[in-house]
Amino acid sequence: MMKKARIFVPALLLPLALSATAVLAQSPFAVPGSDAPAELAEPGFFSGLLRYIMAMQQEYYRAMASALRAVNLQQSASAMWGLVSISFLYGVFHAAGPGHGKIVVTSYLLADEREVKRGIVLAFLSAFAQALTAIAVVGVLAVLLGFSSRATASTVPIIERASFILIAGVGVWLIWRTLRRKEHSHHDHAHGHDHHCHDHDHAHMPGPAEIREAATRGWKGMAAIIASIGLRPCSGAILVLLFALTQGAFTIGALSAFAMSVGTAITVSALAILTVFSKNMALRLAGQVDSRRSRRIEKMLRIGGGALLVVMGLVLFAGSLTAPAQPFF
Amino acid sequence: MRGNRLWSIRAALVALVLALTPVSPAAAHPHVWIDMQTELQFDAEGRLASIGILWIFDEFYSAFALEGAEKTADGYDEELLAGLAAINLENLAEWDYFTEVTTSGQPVALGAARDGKSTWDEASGRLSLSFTVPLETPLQLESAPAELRIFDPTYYISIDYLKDNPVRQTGAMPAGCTVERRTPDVENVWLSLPESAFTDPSSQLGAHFATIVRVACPPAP
Repeated sequence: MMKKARIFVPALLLPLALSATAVLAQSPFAVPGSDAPAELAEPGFFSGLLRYIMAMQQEYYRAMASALRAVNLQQSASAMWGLVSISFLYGVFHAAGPGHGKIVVTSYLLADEREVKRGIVLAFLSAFAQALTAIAVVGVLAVLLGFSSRATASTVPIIERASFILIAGVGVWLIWRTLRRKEHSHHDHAHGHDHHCHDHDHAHMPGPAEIREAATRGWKGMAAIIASIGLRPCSGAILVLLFALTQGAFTIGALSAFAMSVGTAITVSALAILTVFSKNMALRLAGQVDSRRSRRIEKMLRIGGGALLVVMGLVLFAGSLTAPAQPFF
Repeated sequence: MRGNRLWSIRAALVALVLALTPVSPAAAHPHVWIDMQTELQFDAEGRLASIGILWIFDEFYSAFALEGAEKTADGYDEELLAGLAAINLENLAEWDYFTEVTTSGQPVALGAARDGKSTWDEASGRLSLSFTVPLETPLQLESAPAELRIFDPTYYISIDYLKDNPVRQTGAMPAGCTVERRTPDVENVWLSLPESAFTDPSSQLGAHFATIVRVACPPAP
């Protein structure tokens, strides 16, 4: 148990290490949305790879602007295809960079999911939700209400705050559920209790009703996590949509936003597969040694993953309150 | 056997940690890109007197900077563009126009920028800004070479030389002077930066990516 705990420490401390928010200095050439608060300080691991990803992401970001202009000016299928593929690639790299709720998705999967398939569904649905939110925000504020790009982008941090609170809420719910379930099983399955060991984890086989109940719970948790991630619009999509609007081509921007979300979904899916697969492997191997240990690890993951979500939600929320405003002219 | 399994559990848990690791975000990165040309302007005595700078902004910034401004068939109103240039230079003054001239490792004092002008190019959809930054005291290059770097220390803006005609000279540049340009490879810089470049606010992240233009003249006889 102690050994496991030691192994878990890095996993649990990692997001904490990220919690120092980077303060963006004011620039004389600020663009809308760049005051988005949720950028965290760089950790030591993998930073070279990360920076490479950032460089690629920027290349595709710039390329998107001219691709979008080309579609608008030429109205040709080849220009359209160019924009879709560049947006898709931007999405792939963008999702590997900051934001996009990847830590949230993986923490949630770590805590509450054992099916790879549902992990992928979660990745795709939350990416589509983020694209839809971006389209809705720009569509309502900039197109319908006539907000400027700057004004539209400045509402994003407010929406993000709601998302962060929801994320923390899902974490609290996961922990509460895990703790409550322990009590529940203690009362209902007292017959299976091992009296020689004062441990509330019993190795009993779940009945069909219990499996069904767990599945419903899983979908409920998934819906909650998709809603909380999806509420936060994709920053890249917001900028592309605002840019598209300045070119008088909102629908082309929406097309680009969707292509982007397919790209982000693929990256996040890869992470989801890796997370669920390695979690299951750890549980299975632990189960071969000792099934109680496996259950204990699973419970630790639930509580730890829930705690991660709470900490991340609160840290991101706090960061969003102290983010400096950017002058725009 | 049991020990082996424990080891496997550990390996699987490490894999889990790795699954979480690449999600950690990087901090500073450019949000605005500028393509640049510069001009080394020499006075009649052959001293480096001022730096002429042309910046062409990326499509995103160009679109946002001119958002809401009325556009006619001829592009944007001259007065509007002049106003934009004036505001830009006013804001840039506190950053020394992102311009750094050094000689023998010492910074050279710069004056207030003049001749600010904004232009819109309809074909590329890009806005540009040209201006001149004078050296407070013209610099005699025969005694020591000068180095010019133009960069945003926060790296919010990435400023890169155009391939086409990046650095020109005007005026009476002394005979035998050489102009060299050294541009760091962006990918290599990203891969080799120390962590402190991101975490230390005084580290001038943007400086790591800045092109250095070095002007050296043979010693006066």
